[in-house]
Amino acid sequence: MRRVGWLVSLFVGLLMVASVSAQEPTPAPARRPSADDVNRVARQLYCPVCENEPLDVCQTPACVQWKAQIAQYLAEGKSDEEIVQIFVDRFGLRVKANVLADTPILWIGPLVVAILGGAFALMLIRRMTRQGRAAQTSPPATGTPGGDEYAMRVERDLNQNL
Amino acid sequence: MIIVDIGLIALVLAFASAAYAVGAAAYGGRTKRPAWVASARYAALTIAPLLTIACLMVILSNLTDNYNLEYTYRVSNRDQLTMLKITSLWGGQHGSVLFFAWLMSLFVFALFVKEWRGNRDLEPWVIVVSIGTQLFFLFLSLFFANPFARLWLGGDGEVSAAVIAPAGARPFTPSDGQGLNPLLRHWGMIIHPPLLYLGFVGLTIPYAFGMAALLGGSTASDAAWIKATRRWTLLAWLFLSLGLLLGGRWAYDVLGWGGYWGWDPVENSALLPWLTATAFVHSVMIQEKRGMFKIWNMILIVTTFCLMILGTAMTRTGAISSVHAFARSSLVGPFAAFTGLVLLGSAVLVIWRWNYLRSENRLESWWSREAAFVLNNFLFLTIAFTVFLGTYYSLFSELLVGEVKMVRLDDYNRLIGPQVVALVLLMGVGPLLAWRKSSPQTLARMTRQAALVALVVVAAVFALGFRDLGALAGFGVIAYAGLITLEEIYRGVRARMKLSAESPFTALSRLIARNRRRYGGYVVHVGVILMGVGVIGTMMYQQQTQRGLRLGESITIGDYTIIYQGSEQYVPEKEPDKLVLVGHVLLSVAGGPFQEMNPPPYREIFQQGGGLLPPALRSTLAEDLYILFMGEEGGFGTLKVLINPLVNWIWIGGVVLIVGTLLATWPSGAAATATVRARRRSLVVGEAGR
Repeated sequence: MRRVGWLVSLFVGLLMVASVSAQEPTPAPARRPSADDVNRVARQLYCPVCENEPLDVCQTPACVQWKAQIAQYLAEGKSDEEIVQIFVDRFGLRVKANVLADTPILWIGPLVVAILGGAFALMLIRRMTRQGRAAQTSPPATGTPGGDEYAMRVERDLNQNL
Repeated sequence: MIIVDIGLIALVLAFASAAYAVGAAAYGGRTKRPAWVASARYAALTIAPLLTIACLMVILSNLTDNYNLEYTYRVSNRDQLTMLKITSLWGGQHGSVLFFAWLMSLFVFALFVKEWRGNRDLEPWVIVVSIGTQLFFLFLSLFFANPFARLWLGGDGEVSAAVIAPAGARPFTPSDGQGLNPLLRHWGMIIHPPLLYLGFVGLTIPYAFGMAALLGGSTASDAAWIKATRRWTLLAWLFLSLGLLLGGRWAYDVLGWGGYWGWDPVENSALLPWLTATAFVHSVMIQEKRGMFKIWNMILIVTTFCLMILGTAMTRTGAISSVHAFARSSLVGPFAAFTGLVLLGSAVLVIWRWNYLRSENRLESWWSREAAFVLNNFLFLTIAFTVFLGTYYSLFSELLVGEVKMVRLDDYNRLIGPQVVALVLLMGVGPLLAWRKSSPQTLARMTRQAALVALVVVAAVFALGFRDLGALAGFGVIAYAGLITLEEIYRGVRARMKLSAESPFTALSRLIARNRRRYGGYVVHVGVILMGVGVIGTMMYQQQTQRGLRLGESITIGDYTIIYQGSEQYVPEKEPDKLVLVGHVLLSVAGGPFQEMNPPPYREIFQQGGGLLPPALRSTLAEDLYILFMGEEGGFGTLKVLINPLVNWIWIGGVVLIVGTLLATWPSGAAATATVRARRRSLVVGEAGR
């Protein structure tokens, strides 16, 4: 399986290089982008084949090709966003490092659940609190820090092993 | 081969023993016949020795280069180091399922080896549920991932693997094996899976007790199961935490991305049961102390157990592609069926016994320990839910919208960061709240000093040039919670000193000895605080740069200057399927003299694809300098250099966390004597009452 993944990534890489050389005549690079520039863009991308590794880290030939391409786009003067978009257009959203902004359901979903869960928990506590107050018989255990009462509480808790 | 036959027979017998134990225990439990339950217990005790034999036979097959055994052929070869021939037992899918079953049998053995001293009603049902789970893994090992399958050459010249010889086939023995996956030859990858597995299998025991309490169906037993499993749960939690920590350290040491946690689906599947188990470890205290949240605790342990099964399935079947997963396999079906069965069965039991689980007490105030635990559970569950959603998002999105979208590192950090900050805040404040009722005024009074110091810390961090709002908030909360925790320990010490006129040191050690659980817990909290410092440092302030350098050229980052000194490459004698590229570099710190980095950064490239990228490290408490050698091309050696601020606090915090857990888990002499004394007292009272 690993080997197949390897071959596929190689194939994707080659295909991409082929498609680029076929479609876009490359102008002479105006300036050589630094490896840091390339990594800045690469961090925002993931190869669709490699396992969960950001492009700037991944060392497979396909990913090295992608990085070479990023360098070329940067040399052509394309912005980081434009370059990311090119890869997304070509390979789908799965190559994007950050899908939160494009996929509201991802954060709205948990948010709604958290709010509903929180509301439910609050309701539960409130109901329990009301019944608790009514049922309360003995005085609550409180204590001031450093006071003897606190020392007693520590002692009592220790005895109960809780 | 006799080795294979012995192993196979042992596995079959273990399966038969487990099946008998489940049947006999269920029968004995239903008809109240202790002899049947005892018989089931003895049968359960045979599983561990039998599986030990089965595992030894796999190892023996690897050691004797028996490539007729399909498993040995897949994970071993003649050149392989002896140690790796042994650890290959869990280096492939089929072996690891057997290994998993073996670890589970050890836990079960430890549980049943002593005469049952707890609630008699529980025993048969604990056997049914725990050995039932064991039976499932033995079933997998026997019918879906049998490590004792042999290679056969059919009449048509096709080689196949089967336990029983296909018609007309004769044994086939390749001259050499394929060898262990190179990723699994690192010590970190050798011990990290067994630790995680121990955590996973350990969770079976509280689950078995919980379900047994429901099946046994007495109100007495529903409180008993929590007490009986406290130590088991903590032990499982300890192993899970250790496994996660070591996994993180391994990633940091060999994967070369400068991080320790990548939110990889398999990492997440191990984190999920840890999250819900952590919630459980906290909420059981409410049930013990106040007889509340019984239903909730049942739901938590069922969820944890299901997440454990799911996690095992994820790592063993590769349903989601990730660094760790084995190829997609035939195990997906059985795992899905078993998870479904567990969920359905547990749900039916909880609903059936709903009335037994009713709360004995009511929550009296918002400002109480109970309420803090409710919030704690709520936060752990929202985090778990977020991780779950993120992990399986690619599956959901593929199913629902037909396009695969993956949730990655940055998204996770953004989603989970604020939740963790809230949790840490609560971790500080929660233990200050008294059971039943406290007041905001008391709380404010008790945390006033900590709040002031935390503000000073934030101001100092700001003055040091840290401007990110998230980081400032993070450091503030960490300082606040950390100080409160330390203050709480100090207050305990002072109270004891006052009460018993002890020296501070004696007071501290007695305090811990008298209540290991509470103070062990506080130590764990301190560990979390220290880890938090490291997480914020690396998450917010990591710096990196990468450049191609000619011989003698340098690269500067922060206070460090690194000179490239050329490279060499070689193929290790014992591992001919690897190519190792070593980069030599000199390092100067803050304008000091240049010194050679030793060990140097290197890169391993595996013949079958992939590789490792271990860094050269200069490690201090303030930061790690992390130098990577990416390779040399056209006279340029490429170095990637990262600065990871405060990263060591993660490992230090991890060690503190483990020490705290050990403190809480270790059977304490004083507590044991106290229990015995209490039991004696209750016996005397009971007899006097008669």
